[in-house]
Amino acid sequence: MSSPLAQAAHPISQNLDVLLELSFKSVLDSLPCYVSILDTGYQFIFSNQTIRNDFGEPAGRTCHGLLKGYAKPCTKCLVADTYQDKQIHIGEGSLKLATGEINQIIICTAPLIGIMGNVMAVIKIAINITKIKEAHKELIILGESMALLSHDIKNILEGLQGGAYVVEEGIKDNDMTLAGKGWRIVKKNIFEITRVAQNILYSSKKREPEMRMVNPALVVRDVIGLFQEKAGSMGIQLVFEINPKLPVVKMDQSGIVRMLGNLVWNAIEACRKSDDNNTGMVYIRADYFNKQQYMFEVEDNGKGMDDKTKQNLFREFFTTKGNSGTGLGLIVVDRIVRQHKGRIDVLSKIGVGSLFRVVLSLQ
Amino acid sequence: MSRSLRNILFCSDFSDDADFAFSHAVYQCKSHGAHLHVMHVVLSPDADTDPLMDQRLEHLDEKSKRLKIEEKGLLALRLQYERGLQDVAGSQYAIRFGSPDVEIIKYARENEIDMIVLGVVGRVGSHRGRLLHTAANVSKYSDCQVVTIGRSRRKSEEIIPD
Repeated sequence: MSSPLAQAAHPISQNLDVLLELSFKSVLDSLPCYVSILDTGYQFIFSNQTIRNDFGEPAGRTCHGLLKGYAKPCTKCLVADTYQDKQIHIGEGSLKLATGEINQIIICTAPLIGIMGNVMAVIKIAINITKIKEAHKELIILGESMALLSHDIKNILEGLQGGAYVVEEGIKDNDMTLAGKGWRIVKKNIFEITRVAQNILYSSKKREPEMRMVNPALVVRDVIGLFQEKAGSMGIQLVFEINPKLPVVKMDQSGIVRMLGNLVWNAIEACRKSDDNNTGMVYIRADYFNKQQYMFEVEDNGKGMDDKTKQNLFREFFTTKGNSGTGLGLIVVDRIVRQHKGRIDVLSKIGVGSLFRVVLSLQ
Repeated sequence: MSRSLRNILFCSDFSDDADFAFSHAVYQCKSHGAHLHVMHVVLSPDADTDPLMDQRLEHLDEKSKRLKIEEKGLLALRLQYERGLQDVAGSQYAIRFGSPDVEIIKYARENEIDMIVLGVVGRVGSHRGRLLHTAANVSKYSDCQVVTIGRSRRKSEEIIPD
């Protein structure tokens, strides 16, 4: 590897040579940040070992070429600002590692002033804050999730308390109709809290899928069995359309049942919230997609989604159900589909409905 | 000349039925002075059922394979349809990968398409159901006008009584 002093004839390089001989070089090289000195053409006069490790050899390269892969200087360049006003500048930005990975950085630039008071070069120090940013994002998500989950669980518990009260009143008055009504409220809320708990478990821990040979038609029938009664009580019709020629395929059955269950539940909710007077319909299909792939489809004639909702669908804790959804359902769907190396297609139109299609390999 | 339609999307699977629909797309473009987008969706990663798939590409990694298929697809679209585009105000070609209904709707939204023209009967039997499904979904979920063109397959003896 050539010397970090790329151009020995450069006047700044000569001065730096003296400094480095005083053992600054080893200190700069071991710093866990990117330290460089740039000339007016943004070429490297000096770079520390951290830059060379992450980006390769900088000799003869420009800052924007090496750190960002750009042919032209950045639109907003702190080095240029420092050359212009002789001031220290601090800002945030991103850079592209030799591996292609994009990292977030904090940049600080400072002038090296010559004896004539002119800026001879600019020192640039960049600190990689990608991991800090990721941790920050996770903390925000955790905070949002705690708030949403607490609210959701509180609502369900209130529902359970209400149902239990109605049951008690019914028993006290020997009114079995009232007690039955209360019991239905209790059952509904037990169903809801079970779903929430299962989705939390599914999304929060790593679980190895148990792959075995299963007929997709049986999976659809299992899901229909789980939701038929509930959908019926809401006046929503479940229709299943299965291609009987589908072969048995390797899948994690409980995962696929959970995935379809979440999609069907979302479809039922979309129908329940629809303003039109049409009967809510949810279609659950299993069919060939092509010769190598098969698909599950869940389609509803509910209220449909706008573009913003569609873009955020698979973001953690995003929900359109207000206080009655944790936003975990589709995250679980996404995780299970990825475990099966499949893909999800979404079609939706406001006032028409939505279609979720999961395409999986037959192999 | 009416200018109500500015962009028309014609989707092809390279079948005879698609060619039949193409003539309608061209007619609409000429009537409205519209720009024609000619598109084919490759059912990735299906290696057998798409006419653009080629066994010689199988050794390539996914990215290189896509680039080759895209290149081949654009050329195939030009060869198949360019001759029919005389007197059409403007045209462009596109290859997309994925589910046809999703990709057609996405392309239409991204390119402010006013009308989508689709052929509804496919090349081969197993393909036929998929195309009908595609046409139904595009008609249902698209924001713009969708015209599906089908050819009757009935023979004259089935129509003309003895």
